[in-house]
Amino acid sequence: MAYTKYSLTPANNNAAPPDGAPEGMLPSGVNDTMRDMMAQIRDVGDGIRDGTYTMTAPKITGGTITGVALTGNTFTSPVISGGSINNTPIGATTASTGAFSTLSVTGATTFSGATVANTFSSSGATITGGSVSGITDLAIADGGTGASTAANARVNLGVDNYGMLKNRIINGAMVIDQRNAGASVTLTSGGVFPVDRWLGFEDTDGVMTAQQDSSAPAGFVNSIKFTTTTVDSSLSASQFSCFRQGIEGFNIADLNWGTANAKTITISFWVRSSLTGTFAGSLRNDGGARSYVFTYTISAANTWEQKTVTIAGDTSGTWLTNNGAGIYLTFDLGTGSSFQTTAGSWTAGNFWSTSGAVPVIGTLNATLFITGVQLEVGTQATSFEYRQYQQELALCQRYCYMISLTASGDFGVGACTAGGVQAYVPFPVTMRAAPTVTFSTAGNFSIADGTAGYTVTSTGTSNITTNQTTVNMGASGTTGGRAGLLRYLTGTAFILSSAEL
Amino acid sequence: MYKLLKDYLNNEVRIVQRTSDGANIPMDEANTDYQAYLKWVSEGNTPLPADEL
Repeated sequence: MAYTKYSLTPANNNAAPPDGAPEGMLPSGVNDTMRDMMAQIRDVGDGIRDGTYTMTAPKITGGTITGVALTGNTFTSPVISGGSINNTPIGATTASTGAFSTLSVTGATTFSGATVANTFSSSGATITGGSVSGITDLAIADGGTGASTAANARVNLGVDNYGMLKNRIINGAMVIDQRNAGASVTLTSGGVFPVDRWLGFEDTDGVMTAQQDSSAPAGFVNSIKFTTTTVDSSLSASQFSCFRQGIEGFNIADLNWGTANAKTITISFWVRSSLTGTFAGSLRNDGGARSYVFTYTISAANTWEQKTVTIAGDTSGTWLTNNGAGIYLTFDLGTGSSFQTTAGSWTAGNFWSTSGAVPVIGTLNATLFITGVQLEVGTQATSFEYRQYQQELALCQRYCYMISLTASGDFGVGACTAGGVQAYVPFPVTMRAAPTVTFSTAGNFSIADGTAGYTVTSTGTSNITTNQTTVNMGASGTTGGRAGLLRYLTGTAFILSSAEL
Repeated sequence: MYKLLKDYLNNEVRIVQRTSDGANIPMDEANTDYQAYLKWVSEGNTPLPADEL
């Protein structure tokens, strides 16, 4: 019999010997009962030692359990509160086969040398010391880099070109407007610059204006605003309206486009329109032999939205890496089918739109604003690269230098002849190419030789280089051999030097 | 339409004037206005001759 034949109530252990000790039992039975009790004590001891007894509700409070292996058991709802689990495989005899499908802990808990597989869910967890290895690349959205190497991490985080201008777009925040000083311009088929570096075209039966605007998302102060003032709701195949920026080849040489090592780029920008739907744009090479049309969606009317587009670099075609146009970034405003193609892949030809793209030119008084345009290496759109105003202006002046005066001032100094003055006008930065030079009306200028002033009657240039131009201003009454200042006389006097792309 | 302009100092044609706006275009093949002029010439057009200085 097992020890359980005994009662916890002493008076009830009165069965006949050897199972009990009844009142008035015979002396001959006493030794029988004692021998039986000895056997039961031995049996209980052996049961604890050998594990033949099952403890249905054991309770261990305090103390330390060491050298224990839990084999083949399942804890369905364990509560581990405080304490430590040190170097002990949990859930199986070895760490390689044991696993927690879900382990949830709160409070101060220490795991040292344990293995946790699948899901680890914890609030306030602390990992101190040791190492973490064999982890799948942690996404940027989860606080990682999305990469397994430092080089790729730098690319993903947009800092692989740290130390140089990461934004290949100039005047992406639309702050520089040398030509118009914020005034509205009407787009033409030949192109007009509403702000520096951004060239707008309109070759439809409609009319579109553009100008620098003060509407902008948080963090910006300017945008370009395009407005349809005359509608063309039925574009022919070859009609188009769009705006673009040509990026100089020197500034995209590191992209390795046209080779097997072509780098991925990401375009980001803020846009707002009175229209909603799918809009289009493209990247093209010089000559328009290669194009990649992309689309973006404006979800809410008259609301600033930021868009990002990531494009794998073109491994084909010729992409200039000199002072020519390396890449044209173009945004569609309404374009006929001749310049439309399927979006989302590189293709041969000159395209910047796709079928179904919303034509801004097709709706009277429709508006489209854009700012914060950035084109950078990598798969991520990083924060917009703000430059100091003078830096941005100098970058623009490589492509356009405009001296404009509406009050007294001088444009240059030179030598007088009997018919005017030949004056030297230096450029503040070396221009991309020898620029085209245009003047305001001759009567806006005068020549001063120290004795009198002479109204200019004709304008011209000679010896235009990337660093300066010599202007020839005709006037009556000047005396040869004297020095002469070319200066403002009346109205709006300007000298515009343009080496744009 | 374009017109050739001679340099005041050396009497050589080094500037092309766009008559529509009076723009002075240097003969630099990287200049996009000069590229447009060359295309115009390649289409069989002829600029106005330069004035004698």
